[in-house]
Amino acid sequence: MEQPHLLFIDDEVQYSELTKEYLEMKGCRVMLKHDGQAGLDAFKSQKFDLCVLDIKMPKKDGFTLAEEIKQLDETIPIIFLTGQSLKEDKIRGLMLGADDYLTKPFSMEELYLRIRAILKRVKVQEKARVVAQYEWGHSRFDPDLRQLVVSGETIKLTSIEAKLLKLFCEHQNKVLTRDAAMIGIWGDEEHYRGYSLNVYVSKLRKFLKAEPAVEILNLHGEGYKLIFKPGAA
Amino acid sequence: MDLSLLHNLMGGDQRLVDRFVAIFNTQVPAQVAALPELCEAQDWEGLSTALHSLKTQFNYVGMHTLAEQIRSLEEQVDAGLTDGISLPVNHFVRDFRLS
Repeated sequence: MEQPHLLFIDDEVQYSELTKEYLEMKGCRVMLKHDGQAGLDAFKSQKFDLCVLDIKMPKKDGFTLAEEIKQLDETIPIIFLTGQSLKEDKIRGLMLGADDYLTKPFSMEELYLRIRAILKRVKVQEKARVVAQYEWGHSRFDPDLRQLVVSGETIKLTSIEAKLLKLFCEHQNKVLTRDAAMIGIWGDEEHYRGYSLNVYVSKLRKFLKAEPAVEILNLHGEGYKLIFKPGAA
Repeated sequence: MDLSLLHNLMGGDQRLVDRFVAIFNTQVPAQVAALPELCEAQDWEGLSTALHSLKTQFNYVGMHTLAEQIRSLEEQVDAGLTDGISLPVNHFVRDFRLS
């Protein structure tokens, strides 16, 4: 990863500003926020590689924030900063899917090394997870070639169509929120993109119409779900 | 102040240590001075957050006695023991000014 993009949320202004500076010197891109709500807003607006969250913060504590972030992106790595070395805090953090935690006062170098280690691990996991192509019934999709084959007919997808279908495949039988889809495709969730998203979903539905084993459902107020029905093939 | 911990935490970067101390000297007195007002306004959540933030900052610069006082105050506020909390808060403010 050339320049990891980090979301760092800590209400302790002085030390966090200097930590941001230190991480930037190490080659990271850092967005720093000082309360939980501002942190959530930032997370919704851009794509990040990792989050560093303080636990005790104004407006929204780190645990609540982590839950909400994980609802938007369950794979995002999270490091918690705990004020005390409380066992309950660590357990709760790990239960929420945190990848690591550091007790304050923490060393900037240690934080950087842990971030690097997690991102390295994630990269290895991602490589292992890469699926050459997805198959449903008599259809298959190759994201690298941007090629969809439905009932023997080959459809060449545009870059955005392929990105969206890949996101659906990665969330197969799970909810893909509109925000996650927009961030995954365009890197942000600007509302004016909502209409475009609808158009691309409609196009994918049309392409997949001849394949009974797969269906893209609308989930009102949430997003979409690509359902794979093996028996329907 | 004992800056050895801060020096260690900042990977020996004297420039960062100096900047932290400069910010500490500028901002912390104002943050401490605001504590009695939070008591008066009975803003217990705000008081707890302010104490929590100050506690770590005092630990960073090795002022452990003051950090321990804050830790105790924060615990009391978090436990809802806010009756009469303004007295120990004022004691803390006084101790800080004398330090």
